[in-house]
Amino acid sequence: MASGRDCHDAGVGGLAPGIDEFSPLFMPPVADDDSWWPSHIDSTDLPVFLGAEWKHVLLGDDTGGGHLWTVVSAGPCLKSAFPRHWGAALIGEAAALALRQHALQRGVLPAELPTEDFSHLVVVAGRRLVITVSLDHDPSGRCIITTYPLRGQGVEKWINGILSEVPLRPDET
Amino acid sequence: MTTDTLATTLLNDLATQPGVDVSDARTHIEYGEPGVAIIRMLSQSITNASLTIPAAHMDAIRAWGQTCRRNVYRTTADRALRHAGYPGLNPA
Repeated sequence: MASGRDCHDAGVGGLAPGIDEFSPLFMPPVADDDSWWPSHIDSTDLPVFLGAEWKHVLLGDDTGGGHLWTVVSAGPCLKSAFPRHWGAALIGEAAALALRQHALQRGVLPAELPTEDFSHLVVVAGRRLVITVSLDHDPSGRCIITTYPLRGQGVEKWINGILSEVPLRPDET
Repeated sequence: MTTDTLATTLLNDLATQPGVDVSDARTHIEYGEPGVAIIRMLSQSITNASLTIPAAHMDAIRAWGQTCRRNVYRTTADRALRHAGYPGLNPA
């Protein structure tokens, strides 16, 4: 299998004055071991989403991740990108929706979901996309270890050297 | 060995083993999440008796786990190594 060029370090900079949670430049202002959810989401029923995992999802690290459009668009790689102008707020909203849909299907609370990976179609900010959420356990409890987009409106991936939208399947439109 | 390389190496080996489903791991790799692919394959090696991590990869798994800063990754690598009868990771 071909391995994409490493673009983990194509960061988008840190927190700057005047940047709100909806900005793609926003980084959750928490330590690696502290949980954070966007302020417009009631997170009382959700698993923890640690600062280290937010960095992973948004910017990437030595195990992968980095699904901000700005990071992925820096050069050909295997990563998929959330829609171009999305930041932590909308990515968190998509993850929360997927968690709640999946928990409902399984008849448990989102914070009670087991270690697993699942994908759901969500509609966020008027866009329909399928995202994957991966859950695991660490000493802080159930935690999100990553979330990334698979396909949908605004989801892009490098295909044959061109950053291209990955369309939904016919039954998902 | 990079995370990408280790994930692909494990995937290629495990894909040939009967009773082993690597489809999720393959998707993780193809979407830029090789670390998740690795820990899912390592977790399978603990829970699925059909899956055996080749002994030749144990040193690479230990070296990879040792470099991981994320706790879940370190814990999973440590458990998989010990489950297979090898020394685990050094304490962080």
